[in-house]
Amino acid sequence: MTAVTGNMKELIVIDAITKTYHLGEVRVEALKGVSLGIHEEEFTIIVGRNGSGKSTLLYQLGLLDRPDSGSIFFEGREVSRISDRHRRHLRLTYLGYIFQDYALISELTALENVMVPAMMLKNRTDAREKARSLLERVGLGARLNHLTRQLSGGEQQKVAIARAMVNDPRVIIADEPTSNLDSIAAKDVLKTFEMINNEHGHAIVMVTHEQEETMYAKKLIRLSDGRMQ
Amino acid sequence: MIGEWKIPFFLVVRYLRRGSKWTFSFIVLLMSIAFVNLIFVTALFNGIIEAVNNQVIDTHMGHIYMLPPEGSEYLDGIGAVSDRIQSLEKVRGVSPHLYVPGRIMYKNISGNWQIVAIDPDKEKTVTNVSKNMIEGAYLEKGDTDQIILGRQIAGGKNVEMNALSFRGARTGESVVLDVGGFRKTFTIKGIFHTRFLDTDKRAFISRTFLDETIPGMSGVASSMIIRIDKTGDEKKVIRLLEKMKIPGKLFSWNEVAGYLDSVTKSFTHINTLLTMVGMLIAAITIFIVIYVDLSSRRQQIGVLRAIGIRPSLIRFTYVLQTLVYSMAGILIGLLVLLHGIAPWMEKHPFEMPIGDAALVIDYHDLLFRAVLIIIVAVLSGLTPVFIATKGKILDAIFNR
Repeated sequence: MTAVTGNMKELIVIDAITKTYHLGEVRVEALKGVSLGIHEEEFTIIVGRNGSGKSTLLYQLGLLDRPDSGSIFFEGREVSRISDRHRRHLRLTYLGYIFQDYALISELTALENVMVPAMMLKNRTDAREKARSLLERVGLGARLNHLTRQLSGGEQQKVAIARAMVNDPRVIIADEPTSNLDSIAAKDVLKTFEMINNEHGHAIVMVTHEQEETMYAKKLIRLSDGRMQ
Repeated sequence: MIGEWKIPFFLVVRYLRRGSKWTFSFIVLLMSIAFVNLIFVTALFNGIIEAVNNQVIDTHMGHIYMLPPEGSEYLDGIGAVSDRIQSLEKVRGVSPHLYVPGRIMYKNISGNWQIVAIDPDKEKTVTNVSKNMIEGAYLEKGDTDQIILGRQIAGGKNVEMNALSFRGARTGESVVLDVGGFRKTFTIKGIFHTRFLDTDKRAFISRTFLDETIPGMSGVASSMIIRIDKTGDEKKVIRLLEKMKIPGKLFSWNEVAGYLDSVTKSFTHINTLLTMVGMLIAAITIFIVIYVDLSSRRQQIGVLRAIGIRPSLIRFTYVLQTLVYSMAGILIGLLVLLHGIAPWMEKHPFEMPIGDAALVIDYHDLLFRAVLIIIVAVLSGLTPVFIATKGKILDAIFNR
C-alpha cells in the first residue's frame, strides 16, 4: 500500500486502526477507525483536545504500541503485526521519536545522549561526529558537554530532536514537544522542526493542542473523540 | 553488531561517574556488610572449631594416640619405641603416659581424678601444659614428691567444677596419693589451667617417682601421645608407623575424641544453618536495594527501548552495573575483613571457656560466598530490568 502524491512518496499509511483501553471496568475507545497517510518531506501536525486520541495515534505511528485492529504500512510493508525485533529496528532506523518531557538520560551530556542510538549503527567516532554536527545544527554547539540538568527546557528538547535525527530516519514523530516550554523556547523548537523539515527533508508528525502551532503545518489533521475530522 | 556491545560499558561508566554518589556508596556499603557478615560468622565458627581441636591436640593427646596392642595392658620398651617413632621426619615429639590408679586426698576431700605419670621434658614436646601454669611451677624430671594439679582439681572461686574439687588447694600445700592402700604425700608444685576441661581434671607426677618406687613399671606406659608437624597429616604418619611395625594401636586425635567430633559436627550444622539464614537475609536485602534502584530507572529503560536500543544490551547494561556494585562491595568487604577484623581478632581473640577463637578464613569458602553475592546481585538486577524490557514500552516509560 504505497502511493505517490505529486512528487512526494507516501511513507506511512494508517488504515482504519482502532485502540481501546481498559481502565479498570471503564472502557475507553481512544481510536475509532483512524486512517491517514504520511508523505515524505511533509510536516504534519495533529491537533485535538485532551483525550481526543492524538497521543494514542502517535504511539501507533511510533511503533510503541499495537492497534487492536486495522493496519499500519511503512512504505508498503505492514508493520503492526511484525515481531518486536523488527519494530525495534524500525524505531532505530526509520523513525525518530521526541517525547513531551524530553526523556534524556540525566547522567549523559548532550553529546552523549545523541550518540547512544547512533552507536547501534556506527562506530563511536562516527557516532560522536554525527551527534556533534547535529547539535551544532540545532544551535547547541556550545553546550555539547553539558549534562542535561545544566540545560534549559528548550535546549533539552533540541537535544531530543538531535537524538531523533541521528540515524537519519525517514519520519520524526514528536509528542507535544513544546508543552513544557515557555513561548520563546517553544517557538525556537518549532523553528528547529521547520528547519529540519525544509533542509533535511525529514517527514515530521507532531502532536499539539496549541492552535497557534498549526501555522507550521504543511498538513493538518484534527482528531476529536478518536476520529479524524 | 560488535560495536553495539560498547553501549552498556559506555552507559555504565557514565552512570557510575555521574550518578548519585550516595546511592552508589549505600549499595556498595550494603554489599560489603552482607559479604563480611557471610564470611565473619563462618570464619568465627571455623575459629571456634579450630580452637576446640587445638585444645585437644595441644593440651591433651597430641595428634596421635597410641594404646597397647590387643591383649596387652601396657606398652613395653617405651624408650626404644619412642626413639623409633621420633626417628620419623614428621614427628615432633613423643610422650609416654602411665595412668596411676589411685585417689588423691586433700584435707578431708578425696577424689578419683586421672593421675598421669610423665617424663616432664618429653611431655613438653607434645602438650603445652607446662606453658599453662597459673600458679607455682611445672614438674622437673627429678621431682619425686611433687605433683601438679589441674585447676578443676585444685578448685577455688570461679572454678567451673569447684563443688567436686579441693575447693581452693594452693601451691605448697600437701596432698596424699593413695594407690591401693599405699599412701604417699606429695607437695603441690603448681596448678595449671589449659581451659580444656578433660586436661584440667588431670594431675601429673614425674615418672621418676614410679620408676624408683615400683621398678617393674619402669619402661612401660598406658599410652603414648605423639605430636607431628602438621595437623591433617595424622593418617599419613599412622600409615608410616604401621609400616614400621610399631607395637601398639594407633589412632588419630579426632578418632579418640569422638565427643569433640560430635561437638564439631554440631558447630558445623549450626554454621550451615546460620550461613543459609545469612545468605537469605543478604539475598533479600541486596534484591530489595538493587530492585528499588533499578525500578527508579524503569522510565529510562523504556526510553532506551523506544529509541531502538536492543533489550539484551539494556539488560546487560544494568547487569554490568550490579556487577560493579557487588564487586566493589566484595572488595571493600575483603579489605575490611582481611586488613581490619581478622588482624584485630588475632590480637583480641574471642575468649571462650574452651579456648581462644580467632577468625579462620577458608579461602575456598570466601570465593564461594563472593560468587554467591555476585549471583544474587546480578539476579536482583536482572529481575526489574527483565520486567521493564519484556513488558509494554509505554508501561515502562510511564512507570505504570
